[in-house]
Amino acid sequence: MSHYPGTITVNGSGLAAFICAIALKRAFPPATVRIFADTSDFRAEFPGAAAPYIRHFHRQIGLDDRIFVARTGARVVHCIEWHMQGRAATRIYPLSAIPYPEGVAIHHLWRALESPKRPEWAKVAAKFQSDYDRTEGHGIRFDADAYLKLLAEMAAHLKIDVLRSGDADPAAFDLFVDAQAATDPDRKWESSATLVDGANDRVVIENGTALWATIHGTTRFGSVPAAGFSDCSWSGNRLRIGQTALSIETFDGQALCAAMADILRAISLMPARSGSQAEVGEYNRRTSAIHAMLADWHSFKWQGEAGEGSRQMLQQFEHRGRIPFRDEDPVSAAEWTNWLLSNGIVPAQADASALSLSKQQILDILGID
Amino acid sequence: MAEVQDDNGKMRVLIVGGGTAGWMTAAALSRFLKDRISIQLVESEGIGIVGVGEATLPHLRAFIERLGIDEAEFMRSTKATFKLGIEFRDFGAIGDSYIHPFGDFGTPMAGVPFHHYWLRAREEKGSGPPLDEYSVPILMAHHRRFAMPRLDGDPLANSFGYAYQFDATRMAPMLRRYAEGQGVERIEGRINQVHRKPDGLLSSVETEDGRRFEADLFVDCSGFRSLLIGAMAEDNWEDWSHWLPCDRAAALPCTAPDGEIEPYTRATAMEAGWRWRIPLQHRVGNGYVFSSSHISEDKACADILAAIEGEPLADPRILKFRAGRRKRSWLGNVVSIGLASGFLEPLESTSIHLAQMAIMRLVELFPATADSPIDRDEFNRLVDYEYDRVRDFLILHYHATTRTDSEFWNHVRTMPLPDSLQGKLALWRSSARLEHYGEGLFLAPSWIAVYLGQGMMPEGFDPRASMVASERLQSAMRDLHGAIKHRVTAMPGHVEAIKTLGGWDASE
Repeated sequence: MSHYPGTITVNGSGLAAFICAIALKRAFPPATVRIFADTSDFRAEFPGAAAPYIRHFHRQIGLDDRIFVARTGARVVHCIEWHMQGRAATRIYPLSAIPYPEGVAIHHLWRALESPKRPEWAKVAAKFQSDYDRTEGHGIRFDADAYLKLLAEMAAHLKIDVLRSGDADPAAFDLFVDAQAATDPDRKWESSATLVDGANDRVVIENGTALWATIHGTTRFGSVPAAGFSDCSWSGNRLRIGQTALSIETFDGQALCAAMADILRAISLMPARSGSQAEVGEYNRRTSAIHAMLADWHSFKWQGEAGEGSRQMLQQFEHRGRIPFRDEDPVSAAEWTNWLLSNGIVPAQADASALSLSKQQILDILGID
Repeated sequence: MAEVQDDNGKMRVLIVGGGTAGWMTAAALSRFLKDRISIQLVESEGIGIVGVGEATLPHLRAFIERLGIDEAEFMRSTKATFKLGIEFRDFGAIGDSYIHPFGDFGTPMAGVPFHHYWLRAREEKGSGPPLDEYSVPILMAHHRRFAMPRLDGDPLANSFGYAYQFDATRMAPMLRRYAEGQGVERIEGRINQVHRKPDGLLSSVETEDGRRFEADLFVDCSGFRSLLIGAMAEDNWEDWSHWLPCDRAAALPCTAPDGEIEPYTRATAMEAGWRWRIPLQHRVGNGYVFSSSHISEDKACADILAAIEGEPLADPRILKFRAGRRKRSWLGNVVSIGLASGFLEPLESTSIHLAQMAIMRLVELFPATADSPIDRDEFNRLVDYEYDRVRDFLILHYHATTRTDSEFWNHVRTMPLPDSLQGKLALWRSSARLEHYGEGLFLAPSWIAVYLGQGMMPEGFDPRASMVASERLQSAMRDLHGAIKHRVTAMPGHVEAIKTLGGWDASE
């Protein structure tokens, strides 16, 4: 016989707490799910950002995308303008899969051209975007306060009680989810959106500080944030989700979507028997691997340096433009490739499949005169 | 830096060995890299082809397709039949059987894999259709029918793949014709010496008649003899015989019975190992894979002769091997592929696949210079990854048994397991979950088939499978069962399907 957690307590008052509570209630409708919050005035501290994965999550919890867009003013980001001190400014267009015109990876065709004829990578990425990329972009930016209110309404509809910490005894539970948000006094959110137009984000990193401007607001950091994660975020019947499990920057939407993916993974591995540790062990194995790779991705984006786990991958890329397979990598090979090329990291050689084509053939494929 | 070109500025590649792995390598390198490399292949007609790997995995189709070889022509040339999976008999217990299919069990519901619902229904009702009956390829196999999978949005029509059962001794000649057509130069000769440079890289090989052949990169496809990779370093072998103790095979073909051909391979557990039965268009391949520590070669030959279901077409031929893999399949400027790289018994038809995987990795990572540590390290990482995961899956077939009827089965049932497999077993036993990985040969349906087929019933299942009302679940499962039966009964017979494709060789 398989058991589900009959009583679930979620600790927190931010987005992570609500997405956990709702996802758990949807997965186990008979369960009693309660949120213990330290406030009844739910406010998000920063502009909302999510990767395209959010749509998958919304389907899982039954949130109609049209309602989400209407309520939160969600807008797709089609380009990120990236200004990192000491590097040329660049534009990054989303590329979720590498196209293979004539059976050759597009970035190898591009690499096969010599420098004067080789166009800016961003132009190639923009030209070869799939319909998915044009629709989903880098993800969405939205009004996080409005999203939190929408989730709170949804929670109420699902009969998820929201209790003030101290008003009730949270001791009796089958599963305790710690989804507390960390606070960082070093960050400031300005709600004005004067720096960007509707379709682009703009990032400026200089003198150790960072600024991220989106349609829904601008955030400034006193210092570029460092990544961190727990390698054991589920222990016994206590599960940590969100910033208590993974600390990475929130503004490209990876952090929120990591929390969404984490709670769905936890649900898919919910122990069938009380006290069973095999599932918890599998969750921690997979989740810590994913978090480590996200932390690498974060470090590379914000510090411009490869983390320990990404060095071999970068070596491969610089050598021959190849992103080696890594189990559970939450960042696709296409995303890595696009990011590295957009940041001026050009492989030493093109793949042989590209070298078998003439320069004119490549120019024709790329659509460049 | 090593020299990297012939008179035309191309890197020189020398393949040693002209069996299945050698000619597969020659075909692929000549197809994908012919503008960059020149290829010679040295083989001796005096050395036979081992010819294991008559049964294959679905991945071979992609290889054939990428070479541009017509599927029907391939089937005619190798007298191939279709393969939908492997039937295992007497593994979990004497009298038990199951099919490991090339396809899914049922369809997921609300994101929960189907087998969890099946486990719940079984717990509630105490009985019901076996899981096999929710698998399109298993039902096709039972009814000896075949139809191509379809990518038309129908999840059942696309819920399976297929492979081939073919005459391995005919594949190498077919690929030889192909490779020679692409410019590969074949050299008749038997290697008896290798020569190395002061830096340790291989410089040339020498044949018995004194001819020397230089190259920049060498590919060792010399099978168990490992002529090149074996000369590059000692202590380059990771032995797995303590987990996979079978070290011999007694192989022989026999006549095919009349009637419809089974679109599946059969593996039947024996006293000290297991025997294969692979039905081709013109004959049936048989072999007894056994542990020489547990029975003699003579006894194994007698047992396989007694077990075959047809007239023997030859005497049993003994093959010797040892389970394991090279610690480094690519060393210096020598890349080993096929049996020279490692050996895992053909219980799950992995021999050709492991060669194919290494070949395509070599194409992908083909170096610009003969000595390329970055490419070499990545190649070795990927090859190790594949071997290790196949190894665990094979060990499961031996460990998951209740057999106590022979010393061999007592040994494999109780032997210590690799840590990597122990974790997988614990997860399955607890709640029928599978360790998740993104790449690797055997994914969830394969593990489910073996776990349940060999009687490893889990203690629980995904709690989400309990969330749907019982009547609704039963109705959904009934509908699915009916839909699968309906589809399969509408399919043509196996032989008819081969003939319709144009793959039947009517020449003999």
